[in-house]
Amino acid sequence: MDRTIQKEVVVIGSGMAGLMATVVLQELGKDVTLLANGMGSLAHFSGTVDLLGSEEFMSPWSGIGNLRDTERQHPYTSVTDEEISKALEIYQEVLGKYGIEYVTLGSNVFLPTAIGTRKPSYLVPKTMLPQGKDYTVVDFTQFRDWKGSLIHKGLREHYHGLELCSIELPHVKSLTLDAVSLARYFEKAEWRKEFISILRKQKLKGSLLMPAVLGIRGHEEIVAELEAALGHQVIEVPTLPPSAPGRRVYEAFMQRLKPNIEILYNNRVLGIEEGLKLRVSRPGRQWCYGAKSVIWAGGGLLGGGLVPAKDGLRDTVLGITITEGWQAGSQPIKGLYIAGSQLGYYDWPLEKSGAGVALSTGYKAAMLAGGGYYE
Amino acid sequence: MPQKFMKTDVVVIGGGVTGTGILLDLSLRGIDAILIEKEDLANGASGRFHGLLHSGGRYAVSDPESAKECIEENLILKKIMPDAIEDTGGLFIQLIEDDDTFVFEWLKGCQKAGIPVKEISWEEIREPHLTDRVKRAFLVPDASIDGFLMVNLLAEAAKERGARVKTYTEVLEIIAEDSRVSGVRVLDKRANQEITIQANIVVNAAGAWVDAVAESAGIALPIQPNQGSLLVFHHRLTNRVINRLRKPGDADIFVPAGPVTILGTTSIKPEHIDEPSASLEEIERLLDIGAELLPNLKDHRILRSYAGIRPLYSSDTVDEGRDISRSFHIINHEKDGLKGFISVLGGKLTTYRLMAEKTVDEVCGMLGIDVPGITADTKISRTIKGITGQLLCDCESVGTNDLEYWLNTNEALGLNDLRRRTRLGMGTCQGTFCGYRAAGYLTDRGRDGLEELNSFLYERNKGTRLSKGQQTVENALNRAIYLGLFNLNERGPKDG
Repeated sequence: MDRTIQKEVVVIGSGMAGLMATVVLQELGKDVTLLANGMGSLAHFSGTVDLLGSEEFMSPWSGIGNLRDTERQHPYTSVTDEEISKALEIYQEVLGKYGIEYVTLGSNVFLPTAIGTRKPSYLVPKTMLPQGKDYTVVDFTQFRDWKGSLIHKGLREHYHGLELCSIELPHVKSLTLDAVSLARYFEKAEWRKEFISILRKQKLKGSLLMPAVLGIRGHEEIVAELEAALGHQVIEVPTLPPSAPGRRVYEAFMQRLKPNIEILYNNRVLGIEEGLKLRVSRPGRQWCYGAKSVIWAGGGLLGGGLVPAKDGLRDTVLGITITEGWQAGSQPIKGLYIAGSQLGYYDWPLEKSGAGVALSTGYKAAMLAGGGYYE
Repeated sequence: MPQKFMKTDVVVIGGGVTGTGILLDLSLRGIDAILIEKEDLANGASGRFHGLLHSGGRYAVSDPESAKECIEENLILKKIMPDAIEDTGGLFIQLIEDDDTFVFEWLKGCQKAGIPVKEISWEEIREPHLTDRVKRAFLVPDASIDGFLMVNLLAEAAKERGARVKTYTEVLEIIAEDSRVSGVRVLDKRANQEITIQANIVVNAAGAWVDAVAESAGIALPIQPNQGSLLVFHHRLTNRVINRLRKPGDADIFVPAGPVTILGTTSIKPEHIDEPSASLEEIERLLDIGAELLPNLKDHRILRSYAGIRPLYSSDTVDEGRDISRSFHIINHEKDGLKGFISVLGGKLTTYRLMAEKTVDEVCGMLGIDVPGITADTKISRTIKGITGQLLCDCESVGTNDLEYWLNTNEALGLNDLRRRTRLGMGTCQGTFCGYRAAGYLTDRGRDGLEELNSFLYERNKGTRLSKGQQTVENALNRAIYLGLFNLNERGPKDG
């Protein structure tokens, strides 16, 4: 028996590219279903939107322009600067409504890292932007994924007079505390009171560098409360996954989509056939979806859209082995658009282009799938 | 360069299991000794082997002498080194296509060597990943052994008894006067200082470099370096050591080691002995043959590959690779016209204690001392247990107290040295998470944690670059974090 559910557009993947595509389709008024297997690579997402970064240029736009001339297969060749800007605008709006303000200086800004280096980024949460002259690294003795001494040692050459202070967090006993669990402590008002009173006893100078664990829900209010009580600016620095800022981004998109978009969790797409018929596995049964257009944004090796194969990477849905990811703009099946880190011919960790490529190709795929350019 | 002088009875060259075993045996007999190692302890084959404590079964047909040595030493080591050994037991599996005559010969060989063998039924095998094409299965007392820990326990036990250990110290010259060894001239690479060590006897236990050391004394040794490559899988795929019951060949042993499984080996002529690495051909060969025993092998994630060098010794130049005896040889170079110089060749980790005892017997003879060896009755225990500080490595359960323990024995140990001693970073994440935390701990102690982390990640990444497209998901995560999040571009390893 063929139990195919017919949809207008199906988006596969709930990472950055898939979420962006779904919001755009929502805006275009499409009947869209999002098939989510898990949180995807947002668990590793720092929360900063990197477009393209290097020591050699400050404007990512000029860097992208050069890329289009030299790397003819790079995903950025498939999107215009206007499309990238539009994607960033939508992202900023979605996060803004959730309560996270993003800012850009129009060029790259170097952010401190949890290892004591600096990393170029473009569009960043206001709470991550370093401001001021003096800084103090705040170390938490029970939090092993944020090592104050390491950060202090590395950043000293960039921030003169950088101080280090170390405090013991109240009531934290776990040996394996991670960033997301710690963020949940920060969401409790009573606990924050104790935290503040411990920190106030320390000698603090300038802005305080803390790990990106300052709450998930109500993050900005939490930071504002800490700043008011301590009398110092607080700056969040992303650290080892699981990422609290990534969780905020996920929740922001869910808040936007959930009221009127069908989101199906634990749905793994097993295969896709001609005519855009999707075979989907969900706990206990299998299902079929049909669609006029499909956006395939299941991620690369990290997200699980691609898996290592003997002579390249195997696409888990299309069942095809490709050498290094899909080429931007390719449609392996008519009506199937690919977005995000399944695209090949770029190296996002090296280029610092992860979020930029995911958002802009997700935007572009949705515009094509939803007919946004012709209406 | 300022000169420094030291004085001892015996200099042991080589910080592998043979050298540290000899050092402990010497110290137990009250003979003063200094061990010289050009890199870190267990840097050669003692850290790059299969992790298998042989029952002797593998050599029952081809090499009866080694088989007998193995089973005797197997039982002794389980008693004296329980902390470094996990007594998993082993299986020899005959598949339907494997030769019955060999099984017959093998059973006869085991009986002759004294290896206890028990045939078990299909129901008793209980190895979920094993093929169902099993004809017969036999239990033997194989076990899994942590070579890094073993070497370090030996060195620590020797130091407690007064022996000295100098790592990252290279031999420059064997000093001889009137055809008699009078000491060695060495270079402490970290302090950049030359040291002359006056000694009556020099023992060359340099493993793959044994011929190079002999050459510095003007003596030629016929060594055939032989490379064995291995693959590490990210789970414990078997409960016991699993051997293929046929004429020993490639990829026919699986060893469960801590949280991982090691498949090996191969036997080829190495391209170079200082940084051996597994070739793509070897990896594919290991996977193809290994899949005969564990059919779903290729579905499991490979954490890394590595290779070690067997310093095989053959007086008969016709023998090659697996045909050369795994038995050991102790050569007193008096026959080459140099008194006080001994080389120890061949052998295997399972029989290191016996090798050490025979070597020190020879040393005692040369020194005119009559003290019997007692290593077979001396239990060596690890003094630390459990996590007291911060937990750094979840996969291998390593805490700051483990690092502290080893740094207190030698503050100069780097993150890679600590990895070999504690297994930090040897589990599933291959150092991505614990590397960061350990770097922080080292910085707390006033060290350059970032620099340490760089070389640690570089070492870890070396073994995970199987080929383009075959990088593991963990490797992708490692790049996402260290390049994407932390921007280690300029200083970090660029793997592609």
